[in-house]
Amino acid sequence: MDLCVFGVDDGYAEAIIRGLRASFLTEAQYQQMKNCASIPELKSFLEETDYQNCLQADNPQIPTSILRQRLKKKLADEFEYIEAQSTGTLTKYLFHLRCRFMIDNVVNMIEGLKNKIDIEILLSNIDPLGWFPEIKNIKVLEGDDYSSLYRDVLIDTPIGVYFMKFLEESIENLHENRTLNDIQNLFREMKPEYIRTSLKKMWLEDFYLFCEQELMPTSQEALLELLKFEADFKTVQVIYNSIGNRDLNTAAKIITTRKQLCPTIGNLYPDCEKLYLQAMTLDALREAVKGCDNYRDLLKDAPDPLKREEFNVQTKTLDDIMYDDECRRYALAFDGQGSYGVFYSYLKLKEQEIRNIIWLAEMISRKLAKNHPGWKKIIIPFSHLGK
Amino acid sequence: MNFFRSQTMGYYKLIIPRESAWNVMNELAELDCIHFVDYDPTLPMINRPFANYIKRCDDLLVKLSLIEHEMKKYQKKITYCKDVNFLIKNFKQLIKERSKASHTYLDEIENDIDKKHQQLIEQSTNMENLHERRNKLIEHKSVLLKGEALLGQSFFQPANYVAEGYVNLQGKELDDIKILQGSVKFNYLVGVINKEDQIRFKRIIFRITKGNAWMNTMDIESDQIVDTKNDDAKIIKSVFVVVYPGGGGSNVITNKLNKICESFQVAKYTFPENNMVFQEKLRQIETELVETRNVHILIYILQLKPTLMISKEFIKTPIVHKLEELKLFLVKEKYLYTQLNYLRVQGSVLYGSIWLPQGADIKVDQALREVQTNYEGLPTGQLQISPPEGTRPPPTYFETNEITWGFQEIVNTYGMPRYKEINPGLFTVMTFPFLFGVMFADIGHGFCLLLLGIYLCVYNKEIKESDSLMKHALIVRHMVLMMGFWAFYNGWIYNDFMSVPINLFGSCYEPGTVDDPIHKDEQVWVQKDESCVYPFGIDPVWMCVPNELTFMNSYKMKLAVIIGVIHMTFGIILKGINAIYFKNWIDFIFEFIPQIIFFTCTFGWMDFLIIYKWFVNWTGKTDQAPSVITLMINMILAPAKTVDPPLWGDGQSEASTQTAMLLIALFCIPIILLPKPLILNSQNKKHQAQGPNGLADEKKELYQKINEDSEGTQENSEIHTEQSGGGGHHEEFGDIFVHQVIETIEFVLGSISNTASYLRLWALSLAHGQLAEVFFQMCLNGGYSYAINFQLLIGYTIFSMATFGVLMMMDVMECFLHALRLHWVEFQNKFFKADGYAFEKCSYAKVMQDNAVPKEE
Repeated sequence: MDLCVFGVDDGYAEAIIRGLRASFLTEAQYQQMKNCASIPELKSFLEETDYQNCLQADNPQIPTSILRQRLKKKLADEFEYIEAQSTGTLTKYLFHLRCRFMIDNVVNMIEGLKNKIDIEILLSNIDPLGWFPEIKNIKVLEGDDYSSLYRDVLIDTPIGVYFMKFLEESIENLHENRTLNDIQNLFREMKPEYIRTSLKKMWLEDFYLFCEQELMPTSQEALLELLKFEADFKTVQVIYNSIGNRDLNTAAKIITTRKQLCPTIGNLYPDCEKLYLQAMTLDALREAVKGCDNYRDLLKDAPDPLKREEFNVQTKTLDDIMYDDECRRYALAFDGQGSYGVFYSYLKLKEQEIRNIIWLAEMISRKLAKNHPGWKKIIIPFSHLGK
Repeated sequence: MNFFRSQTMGYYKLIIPRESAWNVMNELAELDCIHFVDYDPTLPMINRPFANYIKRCDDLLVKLSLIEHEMKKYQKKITYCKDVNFLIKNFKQLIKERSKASHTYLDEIENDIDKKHQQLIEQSTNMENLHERRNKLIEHKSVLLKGEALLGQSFFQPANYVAEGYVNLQGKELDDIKILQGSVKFNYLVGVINKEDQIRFKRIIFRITKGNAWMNTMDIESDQIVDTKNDDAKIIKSVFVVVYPGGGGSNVITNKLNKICESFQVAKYTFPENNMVFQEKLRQIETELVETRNVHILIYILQLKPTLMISKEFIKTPIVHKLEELKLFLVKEKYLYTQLNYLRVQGSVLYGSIWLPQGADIKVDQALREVQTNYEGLPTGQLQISPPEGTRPPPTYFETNEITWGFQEIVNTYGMPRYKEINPGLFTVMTFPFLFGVMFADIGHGFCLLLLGIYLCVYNKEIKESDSLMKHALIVRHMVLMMGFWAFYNGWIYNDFMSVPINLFGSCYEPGTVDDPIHKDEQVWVQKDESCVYPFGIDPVWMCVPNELTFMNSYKMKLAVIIGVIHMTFGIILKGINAIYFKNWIDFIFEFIPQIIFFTCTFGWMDFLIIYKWFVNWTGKTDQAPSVITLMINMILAPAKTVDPPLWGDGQSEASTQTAMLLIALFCIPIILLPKPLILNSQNKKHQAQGPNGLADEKKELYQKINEDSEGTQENSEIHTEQSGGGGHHEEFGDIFVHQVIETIEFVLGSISNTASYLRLWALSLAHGQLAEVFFQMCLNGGYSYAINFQLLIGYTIFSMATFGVLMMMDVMECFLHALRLHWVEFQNKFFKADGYAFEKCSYAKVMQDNAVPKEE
């Protein structure tokens, strides 16, 4: 039924997205990009693709960070356009998608302020997708006082809800007779990465709930599948990264942290929860997730986190493996008709494309030999479909 | 002949030495007759040898557009180029007079433009800085004035409090005594903020001070604050005053507020503490403002203006602004390098393949020789005949003029004719306006359209130079003229002047009475004279009889069908001619012949019946007249039965004729369907047995033959058939057969539906007539019996507007579209393959013309 009426409100936005499908770089173009000898060459190559307009004003020796910023700006512009064309639920939905980037931006700002990086630099590095006017005011942050940051600035923002929940949860986890000092200590020790992961977890759960409650069945079907999968990946990543992490020295602490960071949705939750929370080695993790989908296969190739020091550019990390698998799923979801999954996939796939270009730019600027395995580390959206 | 079939193309190799590439190309591009074949369309442009030149041109164009933008900002007039050919000639002259190598002119320009650009940027930043300063001053001034208004005059009065930081607030109910006692201390914060941030700022202030602050804002209404970085857009700012409790010096809240202010990028100002300082400050700012304004004007006159006045003319006779000239020159240069990029570079020589229309090779040769005479010491290029490479057939090229252009465009929109195929455009020139005219038939409306056409044609030059909106209609002026003429003419045939017939020659009927006592009082029309026939068009008396509509409908319907069948038969005949031309005997014998027989036996027969019926005088025996529709239906449903009532004779001969017709038509269907795929299949098998090499050789030989004999249109066409068949060599029999089945079904069913489709000629004419009648009846009919009255006045206004809006605009559009459809679908599907590609001549004039018009802002 919802397929009949999908086009009434969302047909136009979907059509635009479908049209934007043509802007993805093809395998042949990647091949040509790999052959570029220098950054100016890469830039002039990109100027022949869909990225033409966003790069024209720049100087040929464009630094990678600015390149990334330009590419993201283009994506943000497209996204903004679609958002402006959307109505009703779709607008809400698209806004939810943006929240993820807002979280990133806020955490990046906090991190930057803590490291005393100049505010101008921080502002110029903001992901345009997650821009909101209050972001400038994060500057008010004094020391580690997140609660006043929330009270003064973030309370009005879209991610205020998540931040509040995060603060509440962190404080609740303290022992009973906590003092103000304890809270301050807690904030001081808190790593931005930790804030990011827990905010994103909340966002993911919230987004999942939103999809479940407000979207039409076709969209739900596509999206819940993708989100479950994403949640699983988050879980695996959290567990994986906490294996052998020196900051979490006691087993109890590992488990509580993990519990706090792992999303409570997905295929792994709650069936495998017990197992994965207690997995202290890669093998145990493999064992914990073996019941689900192809997760075991994915983890098969992952390098052992205990040997983290040995990793280098060519190591195919867990992230790379996951990106690869994600890319396949998103490309499939992109071709699904009449669902909001296409917007989500588009965003994800474009992000992947930007990552690819940046990676290639890095490789080129480092002048690595062409037979270096790093060149193979790009994942081309839609390349899985042919096979 | 060039318009009937596309021009004969020759394939040539062009060899240009690298050092003279620019000159040779420059010469060739002026010829307007070469189609360069890209040697490797998959190669990205940046990997081509002249990519950096193109890049440079692009960069310069960007800089030029920046200068142009700046000029527009300061309202400098730019004259645009009207005659690009003149400019091209001048460029050539200019290049010739220089002593250095021709292509280095770009470098010179590059320097010039770079310098200018640099200068301009510097100066405009100066201007911007000045603006910025001015903005600051205005802001400061407004802060003082608004702040005074916000805080109230009393702010200054108790001088002793102010000195200690006390503030008396208007509108705030504070205990005077408390203030006097000094138990409440206030700090204040004054500044300017963007209006859009105002609310968020207020909120955040509220949260930080936990509500213990008083804040008020006031917009700066001065529109003098402009955002110089953003095209002088107006920005609205407002002055704010925050008053919050707390002692002097630094405390937590002050710190926080300062931080917030910073993060909002607000400009903070100190507010003078007593009236004297206040007045002093105000005066100071006023003088500074005047100063900056003077400097501003000074800088503009002394620096910016001379920079913008690009005085040194580029060519001697200035018809365009220098800026435009430079722009067009760069466009030309860029185009030249783009074309050069189509050539393959090997060592120091460029190899290119080109298509040339017949006869153009002499021109090219001459141009190449000219290079040598014009630029001494430069090696020139060479032109060689060569066999075509690749499998792409030659491009289609028609030379059009102002009249044929529009009609050819109609055809091209549907599809580019295949190389050497009959060009439907030729016939469209005539049939299109005619079919339009059949639908739009009306003497009055047609005449209006005709007048418009005449006006556009006669005042062509004047309109072109004016700024009138009609300019855009000029390009189709001949089409409008012809459409108007045929609408006018067909209006006479239908005798319809905005729904009223004209009694020009005197009707053959007059009012009379009948002898019959029953119908005695009814008015009847009696023929004046037995032999009287209205000389031209329909007798106006039809207007006055009750069966007018029935008669007109049947008449127009029949006309429509007759026109349609003729049009389509013509289309089928064109298919036959094409088959003969391409020596495609299978198509001729097994498609064209059965198709034309089928069509004449069915719908041709129907036309015959209609016309025959018209020739019979049915006076007095109207009840015996057979209906053509019944005849046609019976022909299929009851073929052998005696026709009753017959059209002629006793019905026997008619029955046998129509049975024969039907049998022949039915027999044609399997002939269209079966033999062609069978023959093609057996041919394919033979070819496969021969092997692919044999075929290729054969083809090559043929190609060589045409190039040796440039007049060999016949051979040329033969190759074409070979080639078009060549694509299907690897097709399976199933595919060929299915294709033919579709084709057959389309033809047989199509002949029925297409004939029916031509009924739109009647339907639109009917719609037009009825609309006209409605407007006439509703608006004017009530009025024309009075002399002049108010009702007529209003009625006429409505009538004229409806006539213009509905009939002259919408109905013209509608008839145009239907005529378009009749050509695209009903006519062209009989023969038109439309799978060619256009000949794109390398032409400076075209690109420059495209860039010569100012872009609409």
